Amino acid sequence: MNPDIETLLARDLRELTTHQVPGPDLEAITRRGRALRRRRRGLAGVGGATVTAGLAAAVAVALTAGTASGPGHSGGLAAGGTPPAHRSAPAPASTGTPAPAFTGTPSAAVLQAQLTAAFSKAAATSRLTVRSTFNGYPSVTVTVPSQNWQLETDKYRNGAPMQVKFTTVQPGTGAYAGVLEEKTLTLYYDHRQAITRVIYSLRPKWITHATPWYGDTQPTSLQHSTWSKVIGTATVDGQPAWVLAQTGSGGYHSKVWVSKTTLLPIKDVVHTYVGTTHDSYTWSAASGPEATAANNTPPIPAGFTRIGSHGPCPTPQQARRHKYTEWGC
Amino acid sequence: MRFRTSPGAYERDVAFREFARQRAAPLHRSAYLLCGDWHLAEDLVQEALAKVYVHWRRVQDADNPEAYVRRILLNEARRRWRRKDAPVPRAGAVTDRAGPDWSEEVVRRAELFEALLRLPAGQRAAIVLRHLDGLSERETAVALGCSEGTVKSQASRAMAALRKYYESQEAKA
Repeated sequence: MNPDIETLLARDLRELTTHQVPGPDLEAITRRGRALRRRRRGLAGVGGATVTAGLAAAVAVALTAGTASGPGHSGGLAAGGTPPAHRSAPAPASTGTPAPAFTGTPSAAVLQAQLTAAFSKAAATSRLTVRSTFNGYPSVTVTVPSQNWQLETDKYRNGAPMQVKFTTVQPGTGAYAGVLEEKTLTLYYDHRQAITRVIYSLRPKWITHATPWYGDTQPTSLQHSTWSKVIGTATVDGQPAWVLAQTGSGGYHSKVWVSKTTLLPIKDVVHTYVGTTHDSYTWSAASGPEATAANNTPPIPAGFTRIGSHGPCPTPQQARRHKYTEWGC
Repeated sequence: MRFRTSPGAYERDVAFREFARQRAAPLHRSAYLLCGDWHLAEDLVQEALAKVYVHWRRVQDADNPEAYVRRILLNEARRRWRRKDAPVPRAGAVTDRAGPDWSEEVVRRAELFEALLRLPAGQRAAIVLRHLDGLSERETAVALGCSEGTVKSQASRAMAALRKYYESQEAKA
């Protein structure tokens, strides 16, 4: 190509776009973004709920005695003081019937339905530990949906803590069915200094599900797929598993390994535009009260400042100046 | 694995707004050259940013959020091109400027714009990304979701077509 023409073209293209561009309508964009997000989640939820209801008879499948050993990943949390989940942890409470024996390779739809049902059942009684890496950044998330709390520990690639987030949700009892209140406590590590922040979100949170929803307890790899296929079997940590592959738009593709015994996910790999996530799932019995909010809440250090809970939201710059902030905005 | 009402939403919202404020204008310009209409371009940018908002958490963590949003914009533009009722891109009013007699320049730019809009969508996208946004062949390939070889061939064909326009301008002069 003639470099002169290229230079001319670049100049002309700039000239063509010298029009004064209006600023973005941020309100409209965020409103639309929220609507898209709600729609996405709503669809995922409705799909999950339908499948769960339709397969109620098969739900009991999930947690037979075979669940006792979990999918085989064990270990403690890097932070937060939550006791580790052991390989030999007792099985989540279950009186289920045995998992149906597939005589051949199940179809993707059947396997997904079974997985959704098993996941839903297990979430009601168990403690789920998900170890993830996203583009090399590790994180560990412990969720006990039945106790309405979740502890997430994010780390830098070198293993240094980035932030610890403890979230607890209390179901509302007011006139609005499904209204939730959220209390979040976040411990940020900034230049090796921990910054504690508590956010009380007092706004009603509408939920679109018919039943209370306490966590994003389905694997990402099941949430948005336009094409699925069972591509074979594998053994993961000694456990026989089905391998379910999915693809979606924009380069999305994933694989999830589903235990043949429990029909719960063992691990998954999700590729999107922005990176790759590896998750491994560990199920264990939900711990007693010692593992709930009180134990996981980091102490508020002496001398920290509290901001009034009814004031305007502080800007990030203002928030940084206060060691401890609390607000409801 | 996160609760639906995730913590830190306020900070994320602030960061997103800042990102959108900074990137909207360049995206709007690229979108204009892709679709030939400022209003449609604005729609494309808004839709692309709304989709970025949905995935903002991941976008923030990405090495190159710019590439992510650009790709969404291109996909959105492609999606519209594929629609049967999609309007055929036409050169609208080219930016005029006050001052001395710019009429020849305005006409020249209008002709270039028409030549650009006559290019197939893929070739046009390659040219816009390479010569307006200043992306490398590799970055353009990532944004378009194709190989570098494809970018080279698309850009080469587009340049061959545009060269005719420049040669005709020289002949006029």
